[in-house]
Amino acid sequence: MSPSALSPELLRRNLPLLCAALALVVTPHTADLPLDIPGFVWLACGWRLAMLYDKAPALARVSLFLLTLAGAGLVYLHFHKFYGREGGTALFLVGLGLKLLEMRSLRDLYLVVYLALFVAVTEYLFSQSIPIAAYTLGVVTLLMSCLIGLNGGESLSLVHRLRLGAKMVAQAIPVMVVLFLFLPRIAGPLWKLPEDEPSGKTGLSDSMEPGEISRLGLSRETAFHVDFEATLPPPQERYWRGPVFWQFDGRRWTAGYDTPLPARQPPQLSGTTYRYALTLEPHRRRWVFPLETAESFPAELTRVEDGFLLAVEPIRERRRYVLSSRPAARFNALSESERRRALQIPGIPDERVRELVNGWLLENPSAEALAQRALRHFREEPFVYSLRPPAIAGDPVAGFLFDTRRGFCEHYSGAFVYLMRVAGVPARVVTGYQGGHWNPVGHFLEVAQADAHAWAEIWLDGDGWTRIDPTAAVAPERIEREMEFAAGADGAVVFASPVAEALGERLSSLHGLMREAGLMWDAVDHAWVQWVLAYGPENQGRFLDRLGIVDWNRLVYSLTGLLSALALVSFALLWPRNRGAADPALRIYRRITAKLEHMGLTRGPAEGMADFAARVARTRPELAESFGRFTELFLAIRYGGSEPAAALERLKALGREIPSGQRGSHQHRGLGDLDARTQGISGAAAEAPHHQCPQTSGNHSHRQ
Amino acid sequence: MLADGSHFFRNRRNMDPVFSRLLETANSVILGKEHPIRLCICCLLARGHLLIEDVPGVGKTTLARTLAALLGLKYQRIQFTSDLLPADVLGSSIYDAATHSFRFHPGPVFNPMVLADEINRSTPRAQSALLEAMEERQVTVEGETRPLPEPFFVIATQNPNTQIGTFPLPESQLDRFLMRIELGYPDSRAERELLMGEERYALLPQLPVCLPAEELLVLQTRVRNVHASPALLDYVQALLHFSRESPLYQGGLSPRAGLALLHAAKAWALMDGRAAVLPEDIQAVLPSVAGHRLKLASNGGSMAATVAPLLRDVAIP
Repeated sequence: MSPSALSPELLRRNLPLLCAALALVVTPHTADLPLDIPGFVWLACGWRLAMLYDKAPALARVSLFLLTLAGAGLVYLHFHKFYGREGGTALFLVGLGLKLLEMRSLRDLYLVVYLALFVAVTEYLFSQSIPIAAYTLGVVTLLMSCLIGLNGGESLSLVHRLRLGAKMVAQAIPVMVVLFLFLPRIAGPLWKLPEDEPSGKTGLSDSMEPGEISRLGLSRETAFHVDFEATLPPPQERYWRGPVFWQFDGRRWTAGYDTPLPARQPPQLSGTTYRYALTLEPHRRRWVFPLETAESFPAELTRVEDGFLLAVEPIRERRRYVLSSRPAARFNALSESERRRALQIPGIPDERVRELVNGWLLENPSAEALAQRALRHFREEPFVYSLRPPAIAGDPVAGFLFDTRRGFCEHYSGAFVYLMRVAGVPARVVTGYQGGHWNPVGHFLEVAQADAHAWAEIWLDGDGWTRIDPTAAVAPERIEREMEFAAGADGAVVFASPVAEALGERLSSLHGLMREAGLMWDAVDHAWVQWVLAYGPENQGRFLDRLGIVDWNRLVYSLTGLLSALALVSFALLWPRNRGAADPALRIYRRITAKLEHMGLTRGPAEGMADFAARVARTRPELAESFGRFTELFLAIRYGGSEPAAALERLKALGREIPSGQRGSHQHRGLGDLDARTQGISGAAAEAPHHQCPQTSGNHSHRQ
Repeated sequence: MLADGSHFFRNRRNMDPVFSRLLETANSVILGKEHPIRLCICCLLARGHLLIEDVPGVGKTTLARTLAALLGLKYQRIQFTSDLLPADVLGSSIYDAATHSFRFHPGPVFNPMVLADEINRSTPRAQSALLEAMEERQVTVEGETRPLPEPFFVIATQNPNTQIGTFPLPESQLDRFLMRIELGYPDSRAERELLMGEERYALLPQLPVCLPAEELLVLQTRVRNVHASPALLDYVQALLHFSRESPLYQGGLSPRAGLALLHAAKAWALMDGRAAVLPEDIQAVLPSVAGHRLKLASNGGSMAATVAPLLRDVAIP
């Protein structure tokens, strides 16, 4: 039997497990790729299994070719390219399914397993969470079990194979940890390929339009975590500053500039200093959201004139920044151009707006009084905080202020700034996050996308930019308490009162338990992010410093030393004891059979030497005589008892008679030749009586 | 003789004429069963007992009777039933009125060849009476020890243990049998010949004695002199080690099993006309020697499936 042929027995024992493993490997990709791509692999697995049990025909080359075209077309249809994160991964998945259908030799089987291991890794391009990591580990265990099955373990039961695979994966974990800790970390995004397109599906965007933040409003996805060093700021001070908008076109608020300018002069700060570490989820923008107002920050960040922080490049992986902030800030004077921008309004305000503002101006024209008056207006008129405001016809600001009166932070801050500008008070919109959710298990503050917020700043001569949050006037709970609300059917938000909350928690301990579990999970996840995913060059350097390893040379030496020690130990444990190579006859025999191996004749480890000689004689009749004599003498020496030096000499001489296979047969050793030889073997077995090597026939008869 | 090795490997193809004649004759009676018959003779040469396990009607009894006829051995059959008593196997003393004394009437076990038919149909008591005799080659009845004849060969047959009304032999007693073989159904060609030919039993009286008992005894001693080199013993030990360490098996092969394996392989080599054992000899007898002594951890599997990992995964050192 040719060593590379696929026997049906081998397939029957290995294929079901392999197909199951493949189907599971691509399952997590359903979350990131269109369903038909993993579906393609599932179908391939199903078809291959059906082929195994003769329920489906094997695919001809033509249909495979067509299927390949179809698969590639599918990928192109979805992504319009074959590279990039999605396109490349999809191509890999399709290739995996096709290779499974196309398997012809044992090597192909191995290839499928290795390809599957690679596909398992591609899932990390999309998600690096704990469940995915655990899942990958499980899938790798399955694939290891497949490899065990292919390497002679097929007589082991499935449970045994799985157990052995799990054992091997477990044994690899220490090595993995060592490599993880010591192998030089690559700076920059390891898991992020060049982005296909910046889809702003998470996080704030660079403009504000009614509806932008509301999309974030209900997402519990984490925006960032904050670990405070000592004290936690009170809820009403938890404003996380993001982009600032100056320019209003009647509907959209934008920054009004292309690139934010670095701060000319830092503001004067006072109040308690809060030191904290901010772990930012990737949001594909350069913004970093400090607590107002940032005092110190890493050198890689820039403070811009508008008060938020900017990273060097878009944040594509979780980043951790150590910052400090103080709540009170005093800014320098407003430049003329800034004042002009802070008073900009598009066109002429609506009649009703002018009337309203004029009324306020008559009451008290000071900026501070105007702001208070506007807040009072929001508080006293029937404004409702709602995440699903009705559509506004006509002028959006006037429509909101006088007709619908339902909205959320965007509407309130936008309308407030507009009113201030109409009244001649320089004002701007600030977006960012507000609040956060304290995790008592992990002792950190979790800020979710739902905490996205917009507020206003007005310029007061003497005090500089002053934060005014008009949303607080309408729904103070939104600001002062941790948000815990459910949107009603009409989108009106009902804030849970403390009494109701306490009652609810007591009534339903299940809810409490689930809440507890959720917090616990958040804590674990945070630890994972902090200790595993954030382990970049910086953290590694710090870790190595602590170990006393300062330079890379020493690290390389110690790493090499450690790995070679590991290798030595495993070799010592696994090296087969008393290898028979001490026997000179066996050494000669191995040398000669190595020659035959070049011709594709390999003795299986458990194949008897006489049986092997018979097989050689059947496959290569021209070798029958010389190798037969050689084997005879070898067997006589090795198993016959005595070992005179003369016999060994003669064995060497006989061995020299065997051609080393480099001549003649070498030039046509293509795949076709291999096939022909495989057929030759089975053919020879079938027509043994006619075969021209009578020496083997006796041997043949009694071994059936 | 070893210097050019010619005895060694070439003779493998030319079986000792004594054996080839024996085999040929047996094959003319039992059709299409060359390999099992060869194993039977091998077992006989190695002074071992044989257990044939198969469904009724595949020629177990015919095989035993053919062997007895070919060897010219006196043959007796014991049909094991659930009410069989040890005395029915071993014999008993009966009061002789003429001499006023008890006289021992030897049981069927005192024959050179005993066919213990359907051994797993009887109670463990009767089974163990026979099995003790097999091991010790002597019988102790009423305080007196009597030797059994030489050669002494037991062929036991049993139905697969899954059938109703059987008392399966415990492992310790299975171990007493050197080999267990399965006959299996004949192939279609042999079956056609069987259906066309005459009654097999009728052929038996006409069979010539191919290997008289004296010659058999000589050959049995020659088996012991077949050489087993250290390299071969390495292989045997590797097999034993594998069977004990591998998670595939519930328990490994015992030292007695190792001895049995070596001994059977020596007999096999002798039949091939060789003076030394080759790994192939071990592999040839391994399924029948180890098959009934090993149990897969997965509980079940045919004899072939049980020993397949040994044959495939243990490298010849």
